[in-house]
Amino acid sequence: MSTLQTATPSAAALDSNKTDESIAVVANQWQLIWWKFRKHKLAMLGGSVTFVIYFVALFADFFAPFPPNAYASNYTYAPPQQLHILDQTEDGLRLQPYVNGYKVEIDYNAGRRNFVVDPEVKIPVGFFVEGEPYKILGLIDANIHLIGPLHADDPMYLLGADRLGQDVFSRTIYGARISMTIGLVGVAMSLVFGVLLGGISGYFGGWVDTLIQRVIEFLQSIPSIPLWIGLAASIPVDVPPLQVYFLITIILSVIGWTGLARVVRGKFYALKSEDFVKAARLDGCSSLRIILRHMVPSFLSHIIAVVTLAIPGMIIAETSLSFLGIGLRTPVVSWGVLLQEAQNIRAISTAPWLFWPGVGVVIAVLALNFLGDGLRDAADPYA
Amino acid sequence: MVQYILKRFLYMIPTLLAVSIVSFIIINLPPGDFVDALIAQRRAESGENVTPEEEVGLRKFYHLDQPLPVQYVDWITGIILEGDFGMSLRWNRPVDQLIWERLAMTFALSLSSMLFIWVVAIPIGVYSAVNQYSIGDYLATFVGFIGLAIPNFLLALVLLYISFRFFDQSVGGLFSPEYIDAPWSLAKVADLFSHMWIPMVVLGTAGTASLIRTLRANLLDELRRPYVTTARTKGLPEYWLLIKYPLRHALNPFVSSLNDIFVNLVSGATIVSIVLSLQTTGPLLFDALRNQDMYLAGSAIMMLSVLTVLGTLFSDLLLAWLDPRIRFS
Amino acid sequence: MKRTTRMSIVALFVMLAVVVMPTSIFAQSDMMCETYNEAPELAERVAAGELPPVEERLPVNPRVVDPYDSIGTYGGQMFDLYNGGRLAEFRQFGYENLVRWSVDGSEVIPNIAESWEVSEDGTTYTFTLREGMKWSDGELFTADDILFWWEQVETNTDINPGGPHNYFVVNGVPAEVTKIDDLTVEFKFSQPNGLFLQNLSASYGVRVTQFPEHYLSQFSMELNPEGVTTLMEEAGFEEYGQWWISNVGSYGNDSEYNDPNRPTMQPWMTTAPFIGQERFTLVRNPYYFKVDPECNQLPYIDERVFTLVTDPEVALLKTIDGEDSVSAEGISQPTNRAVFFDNMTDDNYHFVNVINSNFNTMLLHLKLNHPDAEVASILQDINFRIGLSQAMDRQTVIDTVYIGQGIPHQQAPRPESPFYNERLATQYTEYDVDAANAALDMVLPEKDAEGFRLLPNGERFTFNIIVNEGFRSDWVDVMQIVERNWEDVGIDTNPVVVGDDVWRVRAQDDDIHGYVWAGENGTGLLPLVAAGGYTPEAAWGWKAWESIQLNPDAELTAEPVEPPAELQRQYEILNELQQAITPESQAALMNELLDLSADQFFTIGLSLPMGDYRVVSNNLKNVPDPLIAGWLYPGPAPANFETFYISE
Repeated sequence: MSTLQTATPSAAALDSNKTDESIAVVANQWQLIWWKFRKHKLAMLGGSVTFVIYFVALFADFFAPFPPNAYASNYTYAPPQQLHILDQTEDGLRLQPYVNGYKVEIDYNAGRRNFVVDPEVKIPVGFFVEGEPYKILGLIDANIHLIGPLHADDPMYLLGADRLGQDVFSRTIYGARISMTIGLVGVAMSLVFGVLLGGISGYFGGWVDTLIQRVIEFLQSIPSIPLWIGLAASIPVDVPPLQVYFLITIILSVIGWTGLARVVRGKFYALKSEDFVKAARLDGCSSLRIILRHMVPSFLSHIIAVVTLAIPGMIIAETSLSFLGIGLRTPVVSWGVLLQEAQNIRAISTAPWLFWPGVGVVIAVLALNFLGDGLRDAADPYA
Repeated sequence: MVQYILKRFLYMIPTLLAVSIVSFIIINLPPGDFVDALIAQRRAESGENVTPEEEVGLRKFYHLDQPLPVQYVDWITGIILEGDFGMSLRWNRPVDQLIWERLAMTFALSLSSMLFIWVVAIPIGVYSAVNQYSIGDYLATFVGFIGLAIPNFLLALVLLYISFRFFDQSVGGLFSPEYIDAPWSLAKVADLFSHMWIPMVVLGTAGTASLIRTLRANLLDELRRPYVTTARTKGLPEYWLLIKYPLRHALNPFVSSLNDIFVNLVSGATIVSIVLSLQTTGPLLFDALRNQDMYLAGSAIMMLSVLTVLGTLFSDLLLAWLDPRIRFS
Repeated sequence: MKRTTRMSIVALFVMLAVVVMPTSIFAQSDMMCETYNEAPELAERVAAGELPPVEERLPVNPRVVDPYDSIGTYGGQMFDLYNGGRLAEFRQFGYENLVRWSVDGSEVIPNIAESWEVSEDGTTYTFTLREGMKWSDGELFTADDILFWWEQVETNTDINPGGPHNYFVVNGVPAEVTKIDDLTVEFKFSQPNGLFLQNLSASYGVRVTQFPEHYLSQFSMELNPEGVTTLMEEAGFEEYGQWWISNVGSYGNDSEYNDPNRPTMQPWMTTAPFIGQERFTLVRNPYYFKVDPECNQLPYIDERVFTLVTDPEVALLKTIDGEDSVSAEGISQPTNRAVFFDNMTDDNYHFVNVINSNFNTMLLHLKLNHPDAEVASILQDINFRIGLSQAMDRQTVIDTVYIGQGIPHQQAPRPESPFYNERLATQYTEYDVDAANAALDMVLPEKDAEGFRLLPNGERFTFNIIVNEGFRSDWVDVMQIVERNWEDVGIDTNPVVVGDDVWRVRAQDDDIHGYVWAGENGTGLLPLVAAGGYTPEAAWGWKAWESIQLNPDAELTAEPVEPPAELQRQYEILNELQQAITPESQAALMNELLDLSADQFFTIGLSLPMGDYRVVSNNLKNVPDPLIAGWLYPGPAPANFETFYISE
């Protein structure tokens, strides 16, 4: 993140962005970035939300009341219950969270179970209750859940149930785990490839440029959907679906770096005739050093903007792959899989609560974008 | 300049040959072939089972009993020597015909959504850069990202349902049934627009965010450059100051990524087309790939590749025009 | 996909074997009308001299069709949506076979053939055509048209690479088709073909009557080599077979109906090429050969309008909006019933019940001849299958996935069928974890620390079942529950979910132990003609063995393995059934086959499908309730679209 010259005085003297240096000379660059970042309200919000989402995803077993695939025949498409914090009893109000039970009957003509909230039945709910056992981070045995019914068999569907009576709330939380983590690899790899090869291409020009450009052109001229289908379909059957997705992500990023590389190349073409680059070259800096140390920082902001949009782009891509039927599949629980299951008129017209994972996607993508946006601005603390 | 373009065209030849080989390999990556897909489909549709004799006959009929290199050479020589893209196995029709009849609608859809993106994104991007951290900037950021954050297929379905529920109009497609075969008229155009808004909004909102953000980021970079300060001190009017150089430079990386413009024109919107049942080329290619309809899929990939290569050339030329610092050797 | 699968193609939907009596003569006793009524639009054209009068257009003895409910009125449009798959799917388009199923599927009745005669030994079938019956261009329909189909299409291996369909082949020898006179045609087989009429009534029989010789001879390479060569060059084709399929079609090709100049026997006909169109209209055939009991020429409805809608959710909304008169099978799914119900008003549509001819929602077919001998011996152990079956909590599956619709059921005919076999249908369907464990302990007694059963070599046995999500997404849900049922008894189960594009090839992968599919053709006497469906389907080695018994040169896709004696007997029965010509002998063989199935218990079933439906526009009349869905009975086409009419 050494955007500018405080760390490298020789370059600092030559960089064109030195106008405000005198004011900030006492603070190091990370402080500057932090000060700047703080000013960006949306970015602060985005950062906090991103943190919360990753935290919840990491401890999904604790935050989710039920395992993601616990079905219940009697509660298919059960609507959400309202969580009451205070219970009105004969002795007055007392702090006893509860949800109301349902009256359920099968309506064959309508082809569904009909649910009526039964105000008589109160299902006591507690915080930090014992439930399904799990392992914290896959290591430590535990069975405490943030929230859950006091009697494990009672129905509690805070965000409703899906077609198998599975808890949408729990599934949305578990879905975050896969959707939020997957794809980071891809973005990281795209970044490294793109900057390195794009930089080399733009910096050296000549035959190196021609060669790299041809390779990029070639890779780019292969449309992505065919590639997805081809690769997804050619992965052997016994590979677990999660690994399948990782494989596709990695392969996609190997192709995906090309876009970034072209952008970087364009910038390099423009920059290499700038004085500070010439000066560095005259100083005897190696080419790699000039690229990484002098030229990359000068348009880091653009790279951050691109990467910012790439991470949430991966989250969206995951949902798209599932939609097309070539990504993750049930019984893996990701937001993409959950949305694919909800992608029908039945859900939208009679069970809109199945779209909660979509809310998760929107929030996560927004938060990551705002965060990245703030980082982008802050990475240029002298502005 | 002419020489440069000629050279680029020459470079295209090996690229495209390589693409043709790779795309042929990609199509054949999934296990099985078209006959397998056909037999599975018949079984699913009708419970009909195919005997080994019939299976052998079908493979022969579709020339799938030949080794892959032979199939490839047949296909590629047809394209090069006769401009014949082969037959779609599934539709029993020439590939170019199938693609051709969907091109008009595909172009209409892509162009309108592209215009939508530009018209919306460029002013917003400039505004947000100039007024960084203002309420307007936050608002624009937020709205821009909402479009990006909702998966296209989901937004398309929701809008489809809304148009079904609250507007009394025929859902899906680009026309109401009564206008599909009707000659062009004002009413038909109106009907087109009443259907077009859904895909336009879906595709548009997804595209505006990235353009707004990239433009804003680049423009912010440019605005801090000394030449801007110099220009300002010289008393150049602020809007002219903005347009004269910074905006042009800020569009630079954006133009760099314009190279897929032609491809988007043709293949963009696959997902939206599937959800809204639009007869564009995207779903055609998608089905061809899944059914291993190899000549249709292969030729479609080839056409897309040609367009990408042309798009790259186009974007390079545009880049040179926008930024004189980039020279042609 | 040797013997058994061949049988399931050969074998067809019979509701009444009575029809198949030797020396039977079936002729229709029709009432005679002095004059006929016709659609006003046709009357105008007659008046204008564009058409001959209706009496001259109809055959001497028109086919009289009883409407389901009432005599209709002329006019209106019927709407259909099609999904971009096979458009010329005659289940939607029309059903004009030589002979056909009655509406309820209980018998074979005359159609284009006025009557037929079967020789005593069941080898010779003679059909009499209707005198004066005409194609839609006014030319006579004669025996030559059927011969044209046989000689130029069915037996032409350029067009039909597999050779004549199994319906027309007994023990490897194709029929001899002979023209006796203009109105009489004879099919002669080398051996008895007891189910020929049923086969002709079913899906594949549709092609016999759709090749007008007077029009299509110009496209035959044999009859018009120069003309065809020129046409092929113009169209850029190098191979005759591909050109024919693309322009004339053979079976299930859109081109069969695409050429507006090509005469048809269907109630409605094409007016312009529709391939590549998003919407097209069929108009009434003025020469259609059927009338109602009040002497009105059919069809009642003027036009049928087809609209292309590729996405099922869009199709659902369009159906609710009234853009489809009878909802398509693909969207009339249990899950959509609630949506239809919520949007139902007094004047849009209503539910019509559908009888599904499937006998099982999901069968588990095990790869009994798995290449790994150890695995094969486990899958072949009946206790393994009993254990799996008893470990399945079928009622929970039915309640969860099918909203309570269905009854636990094995690979057995439906209860409505005369071949219902209670032992076969209900054995091992009770949920009994202890019994399941006991049975499995006899096969895989060793378990690892996590409680999963081990192979004799000490490795954990992972049971990979492949599920085709593209065909039926409910199976994914079923398998999620069954997976946990089986894990409860120590079988480490791994459902492999794939799309329908790669399903077929993936199922053959050696890592896969079995796959799930629907149990098809289980109503009425249907099991008789689909008898192969009651033997193990994925026993590829045993089937290969059976193939080479029948034909030493048969194409094999698996190593032959000698089957157990009971299964060998089952294979014998399948052969004997084809040649059995009395209902009694057919029934006896069928019952023996099913008993052998029960003894061996090769295939595990889930439940009997129930609660199917379609939605039908309220203004569309004469739609039978219930409708029958299926393929061998190609529902809903036999419901007589021509008698449907529109009433406001």
